[in-house]
Amino acid sequence: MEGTLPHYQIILTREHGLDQIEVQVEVTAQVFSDRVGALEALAEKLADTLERVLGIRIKITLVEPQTIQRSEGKAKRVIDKRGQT
Amino acid sequence: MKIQQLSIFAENKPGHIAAPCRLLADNGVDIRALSVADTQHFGILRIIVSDPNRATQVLEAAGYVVKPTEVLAVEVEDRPGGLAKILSAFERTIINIEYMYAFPFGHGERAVLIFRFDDPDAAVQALQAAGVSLLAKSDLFAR
Repeated sequence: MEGTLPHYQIILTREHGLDQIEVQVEVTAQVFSDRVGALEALAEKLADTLERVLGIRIKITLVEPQTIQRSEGKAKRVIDKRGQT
Repeated sequence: MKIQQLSIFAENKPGHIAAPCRLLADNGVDIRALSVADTQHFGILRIIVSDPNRATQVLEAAGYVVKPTEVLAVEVEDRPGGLAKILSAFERTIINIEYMYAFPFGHGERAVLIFRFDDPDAAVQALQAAGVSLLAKSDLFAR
């Protein structure tokens, strides 16, 4: 999506028997704003975009840079925590 | 009259404010004013420091996202109505106050508030036209 960089990770969890999807996206200098409303709007825009494509509402969490583990080979995009207590 | 403030993105988790503050302390950067805007998942740490360039350098080297922002330090009469008098300078304008916070030290017998306006230049003109005193960075760091 325009304005964002591809450092993201998908976290799968299960709550009350239902699968939950969260996408964590690293904040970069390009998208960071001093205004809370602007960052919240960015997360909302990402969620809207994903909902249009996927048909489901996904939680977007903005995280600090370097939060998402880098890998030398193929990036590990999906962390499946379902089944973990 | 515009003062540089640094804004830092931080996740809303234990230790995520302490870490950048400790980093600045370890590098001899003095924090003169600080404000935190928080949401459920993240916060924005806003600081006025002795050496913004050094602060930006060490924070970015440690992986933080840092953004400079222009703010104004406004003298306010330290009595009931002091703030209302300042705000009345904007009643007939389209200048918007995005946020403000108290500066921890006064200036003489007056209080000081830090303001972020959507149009800092217009705000300077409006405040000066209303006879409001704006402080320079050197005033904030005078001891």
